[in-house]
Amino acid sequence: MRAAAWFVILGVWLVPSLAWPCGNAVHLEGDDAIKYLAKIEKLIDAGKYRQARAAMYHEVEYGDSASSRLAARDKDYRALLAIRDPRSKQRPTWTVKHFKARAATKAGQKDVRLRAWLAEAYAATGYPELAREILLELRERDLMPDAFAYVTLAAVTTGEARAAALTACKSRTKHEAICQVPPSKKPPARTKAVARSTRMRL
Amino acid sequence: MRTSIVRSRAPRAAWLAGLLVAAACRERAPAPYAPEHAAAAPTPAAPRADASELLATFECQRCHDVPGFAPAPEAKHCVACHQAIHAGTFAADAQTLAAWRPRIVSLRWVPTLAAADRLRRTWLREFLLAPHDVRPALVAEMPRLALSAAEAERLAAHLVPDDDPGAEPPPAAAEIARGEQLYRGMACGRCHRFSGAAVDDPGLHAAGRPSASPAGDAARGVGEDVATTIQRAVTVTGGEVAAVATVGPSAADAEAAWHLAPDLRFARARMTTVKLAAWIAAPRGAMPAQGIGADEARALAAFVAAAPLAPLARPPPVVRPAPLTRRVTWDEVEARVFRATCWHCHAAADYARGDGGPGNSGGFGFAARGLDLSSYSGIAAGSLDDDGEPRSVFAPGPDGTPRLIAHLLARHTEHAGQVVDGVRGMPLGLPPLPLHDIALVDAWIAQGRPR
Repeated sequence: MRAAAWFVILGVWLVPSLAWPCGNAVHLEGDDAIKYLAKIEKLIDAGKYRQARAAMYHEVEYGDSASSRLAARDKDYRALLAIRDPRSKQRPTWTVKHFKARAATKAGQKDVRLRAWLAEAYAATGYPELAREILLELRERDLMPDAFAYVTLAAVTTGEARAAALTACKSRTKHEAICQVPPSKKPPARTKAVARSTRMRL
Repeated sequence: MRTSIVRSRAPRAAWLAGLLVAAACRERAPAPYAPEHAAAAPTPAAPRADASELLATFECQRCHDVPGFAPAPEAKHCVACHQAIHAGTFAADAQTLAAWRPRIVSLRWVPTLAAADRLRRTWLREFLLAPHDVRPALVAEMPRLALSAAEAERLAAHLVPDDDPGAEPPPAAAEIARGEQLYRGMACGRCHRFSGAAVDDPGLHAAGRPSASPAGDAARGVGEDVATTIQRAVTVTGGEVAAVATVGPSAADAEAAWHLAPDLRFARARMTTVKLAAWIAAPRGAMPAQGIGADEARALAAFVAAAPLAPLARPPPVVRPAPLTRRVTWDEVEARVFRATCWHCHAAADYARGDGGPGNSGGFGFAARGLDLSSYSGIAAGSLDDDGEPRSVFAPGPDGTPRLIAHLLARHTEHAGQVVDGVRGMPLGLPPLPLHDIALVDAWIAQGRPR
């Protein structure tokens, strides 16, 4: 436990010093940790949550200066699993804090995907109005990143807007099952810290 | 450095880890057309301006040898990286390298800027602002960087310290004729195209292509001798080529020389006859020494500078192709376009040590655009505008053309020697995407970007 904490502290502290312009082509094919994360990403994207959860039952050692970025991405996927997997037993309250913190970083401030994930976290924890605020803005600016953003929008809207969001969801995935609107959640009793508007200028 | 995955997760540490973290080609063959710039009048001689900071800003050393600059680290050096992959020295297993090699056809050779002082300053300035295809055997071209006219002027003055004095007297007809005789006798066309000139011989040029692998040459029926003939000594007696002897049989150098040989059509715009003659007599960079004297070099320069040229056929203006009517899915556009071409420079920064390539995290003087073309959601999440605000890459322009399509079409216009104001052609410095591929992407956008 202590070793793990030190490892993460070091990972956060060490600023990446080596740029890697051809990075993805090289690293997706040559780096085990990135191959692992990319696999998880694909499984979640396909709605294969059980397989994703099974695959995530590993501890990843990000043994270089990219550790903080990859560890954060790893955590993103854990948060998304907690939000999207209907079999998930934990209440994903922590995901709101996670994505708010991620979206507040310098790299995350203009990251549309993090905004959409934060909206998913809001919707999953009983704050539909906050989710709606983010997603309507993204939709208005044609920046909805994927089908999950649309199904979340469907979950927090009604009528024609909901129907349009569901149609868009289905056209943006090969796995229509992910376009099942989840049942609405009630906010937890302790809401003050979360319920304030987090609108950011996009 | 590779990373590893260790079995058996430690869930108790996960929350702490997360909390702490939260706190913190297939590429294409070159198009045949190359536009030309007229030889501009020389600019008045000006003191050499030190533009080192511009060379650094635009990261010229990521591709070129730049006097006074250390090469970029291999991880940022496009050419060194590609060369390492082909040489088998890149840190990847042999199977991976073998899979990559056929895809890496661009940026394996690049001219050195140490020899840029042979150029006309005015030509270089115009070329920097609107680059065109000078070297027909190279897949990549000089990219159109975000240079202002003043910056191009300063860079040209830095790289060409002594500009040309003025107009030159036309060479004598006899000298031109002698130069043509030498050109043919020395088989300069084995390396050089001279498009529009009577001596231009595409077949000879194609047959003259050497390979770093003699076995490869043998397999193509070329033979090792061809790979080495441009490393030679020429004996000229009484104005006739008496003997051509092979020297310095470095197949790798020969391959570089062939790929870097410019189309001589542009030589008269690029260099004065005096500089051209000096260059032929004592070349630097990739061009091998020819072993000829100053007289022969002058005659060759006279011929190259004065040989009659047929006008180039200008390609018609590019027109946005009609989108396809059939259904187009993400898998198809990803495989044909995004993964084949765009991904290399517009990557996911998280997966690339924070540098998603110049098209994402910035580079070559470009600001970070945050554009990740490596995944469906990355593309849908858009790019950053000049103010750093997210915007859709699908947003229609004034004529209804989606932004992404406008950039792809603009590359065709750039390739034809013109620029589109406010729209940089993509893929940067590479041949334009075929129009049928652009139509494919256009159709995908028009159909609502289906997965």
